[in-house]
Amino acid sequence: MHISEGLLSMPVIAVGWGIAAAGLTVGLKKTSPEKISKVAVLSAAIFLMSLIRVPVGPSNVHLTLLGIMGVMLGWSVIPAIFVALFLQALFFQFGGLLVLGVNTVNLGVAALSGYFVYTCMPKNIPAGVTGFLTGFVAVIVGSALLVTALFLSENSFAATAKLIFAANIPLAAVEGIITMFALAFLRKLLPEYVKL
Amino acid sequence: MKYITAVICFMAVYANVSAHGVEALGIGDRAEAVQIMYSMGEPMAYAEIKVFSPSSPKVETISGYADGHGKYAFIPDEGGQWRVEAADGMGHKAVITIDCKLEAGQGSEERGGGKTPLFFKALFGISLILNIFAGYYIVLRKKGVS
Repeated sequence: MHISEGLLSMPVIAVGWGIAAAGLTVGLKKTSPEKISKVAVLSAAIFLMSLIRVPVGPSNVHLTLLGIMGVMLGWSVIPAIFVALFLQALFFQFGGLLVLGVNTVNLGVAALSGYFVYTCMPKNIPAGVTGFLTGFVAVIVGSALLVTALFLSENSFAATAKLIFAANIPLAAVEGIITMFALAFLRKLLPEYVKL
Repeated sequence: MKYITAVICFMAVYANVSAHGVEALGIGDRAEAVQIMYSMGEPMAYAEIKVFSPSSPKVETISGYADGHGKYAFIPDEGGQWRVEAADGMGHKAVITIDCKLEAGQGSEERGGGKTPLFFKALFGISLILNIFAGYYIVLRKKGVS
């Protein structure tokens, strides 16, 4: 879900940095000293996540696990994602430094959407359904933001943007299933990490 | 936390064999560059270029277009006489022969050195992340934030 350097217009980049700065401020304020070790470890996980690619047909995909990250970190997921994306841009040329703000917003808001789905879902809904929707919605929101940023920058990206969004729907379903099992596992093993 | 840390260690190792990435090596010192000009000194902008290697004098090895200043560069992978043909599509054509002498160690094989293995980049990145947040932890503690 990285947007590469050179694709976005300056207004979109500027707005991205503005929203990212606001999100970072809130995220850092909500990160207590006791929570920092968890943020650091999960930031490292995000940093490595895009390196692990699964071959699918002629191409390959990688999991984002944004829903799980959102549930485990809440608002602190934004600084975790920002640091991970910054180092990915430096070391692996994924994304870029100019588009770091937009990429942080895309993934950060996606992870937060998973967090809100998990925390706001009515209690009578089965935990498995909540888990699936947490992962599914996070990827769909992230894809929608990516597509929006591309479309606002250049109308000619419309066809590409639709294709990217369509390609991410199966990934969202896979992420939903993985998130469902991962959250069920975490509820048993580390319940304090995923408590509502 | 120990379970998550173990998963991250596994990911760091696995990433080494399954990662994608983009790298660009500077190999300008191996390139041959030409500039195609008309007789009046005006560059032949965006000329169609065909490059013939010494071992393939009839079928072009490389093809492309010059830039707006009539300049084109390619990287020979064997020594000998390389022929560059440039045409502007309007009847003008230029043929340039370049005598290329490759030094020992140059050629089609990749040069070593200067490329950090991905595994070390991943480890260094993880180390930096942990240090960044450790620094933030110290700052918060000094401020007395609980």
